[in-house]
Amino acid sequence: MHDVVIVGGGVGGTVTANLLAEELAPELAAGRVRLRLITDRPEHVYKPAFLYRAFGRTSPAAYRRPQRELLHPAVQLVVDPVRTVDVAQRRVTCASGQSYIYTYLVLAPGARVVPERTPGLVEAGEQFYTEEGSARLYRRLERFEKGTVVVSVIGVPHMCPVAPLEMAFMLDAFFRERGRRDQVEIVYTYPINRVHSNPAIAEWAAPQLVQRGIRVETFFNVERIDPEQKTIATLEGAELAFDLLIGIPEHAAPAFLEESGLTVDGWVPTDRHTLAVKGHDNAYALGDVTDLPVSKAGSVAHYQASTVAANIAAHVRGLPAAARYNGKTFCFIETGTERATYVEFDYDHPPQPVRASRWVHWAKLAYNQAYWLTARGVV
Amino acid sequence: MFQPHGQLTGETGATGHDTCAPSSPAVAHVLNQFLNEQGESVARALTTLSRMEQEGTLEELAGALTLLKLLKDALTDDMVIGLARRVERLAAVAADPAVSSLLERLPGALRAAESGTVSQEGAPGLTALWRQLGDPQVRRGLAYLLAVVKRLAPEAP
Ligand SMILES: Cc1cc2nc3c(=O)[nH]c(=O)nc-3n(C[C@H](O)[C@H](O)[C@H](O)COP(=O)(O)OP(=O)(O)OC[C@H]3O[C@@H](n4cnc5c(N)ncnc54)[C@H](O)[C@@H]3O)c2cc1C
Repeated sequence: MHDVVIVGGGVGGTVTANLLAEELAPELAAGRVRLRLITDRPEHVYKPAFLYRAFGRTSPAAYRRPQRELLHPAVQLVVDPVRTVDVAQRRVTCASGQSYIYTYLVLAPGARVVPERTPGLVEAGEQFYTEEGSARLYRRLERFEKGTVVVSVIGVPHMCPVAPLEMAFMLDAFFRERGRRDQVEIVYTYPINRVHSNPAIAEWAAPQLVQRGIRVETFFNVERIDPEQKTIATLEGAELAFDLLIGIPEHAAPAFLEESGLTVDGWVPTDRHTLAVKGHDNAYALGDVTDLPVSKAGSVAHYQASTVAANIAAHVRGLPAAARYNGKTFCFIETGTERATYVEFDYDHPPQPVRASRWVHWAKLAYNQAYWLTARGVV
Repeated sequence: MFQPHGQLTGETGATGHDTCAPSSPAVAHVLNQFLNEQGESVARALTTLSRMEQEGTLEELAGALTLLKLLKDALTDDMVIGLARRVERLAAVAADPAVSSLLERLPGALRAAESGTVSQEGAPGLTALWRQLGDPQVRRGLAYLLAVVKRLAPEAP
């Protein structure tokens, strides 16, 4: 009996489980394989919706679905947060004390935000990387009449590499639509000497920010925030005042992975092509939790899921695990509230944003709905 | 009226001398000949194009075409194969004569059920149900459902 244990019911875990259930249907029916997905909540959350939630453009009913509904019936669902992974014993132990032995392990528990690592950020900053954060930010934006809004990228890497830019563009559109733009200054800060870590995206985005009158501060590494004075101090010695701070906090892999000794510098070391956890041929990692030099994006987790599923199916059948991930990434970029563009790239080909249009914005809105088909492994 | 002939070919010839001299006179000649024969339709096409450009339709068209590029960029071989496999399965099911015959009867049956006693008056009593069994059409329907039910469950292990 092969026991496949998948940790995490997000994009990566769900798609991997569904692809495996389909691919290994004969083995599952014959009782030669057991497929388990262990996650920490009964509902699946579509995180990209948080960006829209921050502007009051969506509601929880639209971005939550029962996890069970999204899974192939052959996948056993366990809702019980994982506490430790013992790779020597090939055992995953959950909060309830229940343990699961695995033949093959898939780590897909995503990333978490750790705003507490930046002094003053929890007290003084808003963010849209969690459900509660985006709902709170919307309440603040609705009431925000005038002053300076700072969108500050504090932690890199973070989920969805273009989301901070999208936030800046959408803020501009949001305040224009409400006739408050001339009362609101928008500032976008980034830690290195350009507006995005990817040179091609930076080159495209810089003039877009200028066009919208968004002030840019680069080489801006946030050291601490003074909640009383409402100022940000940087390692470079600069100081910036704000009325509303939208900080993109530092990110990290879930704590249980660190406690299980499976992280290096905060992330799970992963082979960039096979997606095996380095040093463990029977364990794979995908999505936000890896240390790969790719975007922490849902599309990445989705593309990686087919590589991981193919490799595990090959192991089960005694075949060589030959599937390779090529770094493929696809990201929509909302350039306001009515237009969008997108980028597509991989390890060898840099992105080339296309001209922003309403069509691409509609494609993104349509994708937000079609996501539920994606999670089921249909597309 | 729009006069494309001399202007277009003349320009091509002129630039041709500066840049790619050997082939350009030949290109100019072919273009000239083509325009002599097809001038009217080229003029009409260009007029349409220019109108589309002025109205912004051309720009919208380019935008809509981006969607094709987007699909190409977003999909992978695996995704296309998976999708095609599903479409093929669905199509095979839909093309099955038993399924298409059922699909033809289903809307009528559902409409009748929606407007019938069950929807309007709630659950019938046991005697009312028993009486309905006297109707041969109800008995045929039940036998049909039972035959389906019998084959629906997977084989017992
Ligand atoms: C605001 C925002 C906008 C975004 N926009 C885009 C976008 O436009 N395009 C795009 O491609 N990506 C976008 N992303 C990124 C995308 O959501 C993530 O990259 C993607 O969800 C990563 O998938 P994953 O499977 O690795 O992790 P997740 O989807 O985060 O799933 C992880 C799962 O593991 C579970 N889990 C965590 N800890 C445990 C534990 N201890 N035990 C058991 N289960 C656990 C979680 O509950 C969750 O179900 C955005 C993200 C945010 C926050």
